[in-house]
Amino acid sequence: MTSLPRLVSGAVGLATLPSIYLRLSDVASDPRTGAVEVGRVISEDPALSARLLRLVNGALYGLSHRVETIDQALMLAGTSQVLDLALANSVIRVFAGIPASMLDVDAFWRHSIATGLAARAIAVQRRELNPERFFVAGLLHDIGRMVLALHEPQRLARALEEARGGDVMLHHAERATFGFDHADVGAGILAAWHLPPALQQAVAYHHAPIAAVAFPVEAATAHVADVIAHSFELGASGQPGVPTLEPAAWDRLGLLPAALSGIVDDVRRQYVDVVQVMLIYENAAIAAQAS
Amino acid sequence: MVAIPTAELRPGLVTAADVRDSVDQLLVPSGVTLTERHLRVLHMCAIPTVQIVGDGESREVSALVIDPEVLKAAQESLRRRFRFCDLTHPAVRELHALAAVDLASGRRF
Repeated sequence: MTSLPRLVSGAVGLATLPSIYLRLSDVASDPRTGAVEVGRVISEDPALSARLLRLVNGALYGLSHRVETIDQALMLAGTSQVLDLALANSVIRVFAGIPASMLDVDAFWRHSIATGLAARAIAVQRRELNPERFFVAGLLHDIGRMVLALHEPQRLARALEEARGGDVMLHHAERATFGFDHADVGAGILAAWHLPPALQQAVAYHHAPIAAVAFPVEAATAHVADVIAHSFELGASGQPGVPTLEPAAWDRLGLLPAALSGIVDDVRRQYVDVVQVMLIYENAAIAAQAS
Repeated sequence: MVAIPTAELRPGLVTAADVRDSVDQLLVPSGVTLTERHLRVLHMCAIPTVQIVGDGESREVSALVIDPEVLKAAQESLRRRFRFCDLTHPAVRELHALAAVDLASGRRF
């Protein structure tokens, strides 16, 4: 029976964040450096630069003019926002091209992107200062399931069977099978990657948002965003059906139900474009490298 | 041109007049497409309303008409998808309704 720590350390051993992101993170957190240095590091990775420019010029920002350079993107969106987008790209790159037998990988990332966009739209609606941070939280919320699919496929298959047969939510079946669920695994991965505690809590508690003491808004946002993504069957994560909405999480966000229409419209407007940039370009890039 | 409360603004709307704060400082010029950054500034400066070009709709309004029987069938068929949820909760009810409209109108993301 694999313990959670053993599973996480095994997974992290094989899945490290790209060095470009680690360098970016170092440069950005150094108080002596500024946007110019961040821009220089990004520009050293043409693929990342292209991806970031494509995101900023696309449906996420809906600009009326084109942004041509990384420096302009940093000025427009802000350094921390661009960094968060770089993190999002980096995580997808970590797992890109790895086949998983128990999971439709493409559908998984579509669900993850949809959740990211819903979380971002909620953050924008609530006038949060860092919407891209919420995008990353939504994008990463189910990363633990990817790890389970890659490292414990047989037991995940049993959990999937139990969820389908017993008509229970998959994370409950995971807990019954493993003693922990994909949220625990995801939080462990993010901690091992030294990602911010707000992201760790959003992932750890996206199915139990009331338990998120330090970062209740992030956890509640990831929770509600997940519900939204499932409501419209945007991609698939293995979870059959819309997970139960925790009323306290909804209350915590302070949104009116009428706000959901606008949030869903935002996701609708951005989903195809962001999937194209983050997934399809990525897969094509990998295929090109492999050939 | 229409005055929209700041809380209801969305990115993509275009200002129809200069937006100034209480000491007449220019925050957003006329003719600018609002981005999220603008919205944060307007919120932080407690601007109550903003003059917007057009009728405030930044996306095309669908003149869609859905057959009520088709909508009802869509709502029913979505019960299974929402089986873990409490359909009496207002947010869940809203999501279920929005998803049913999508299903009934054949709208795809």
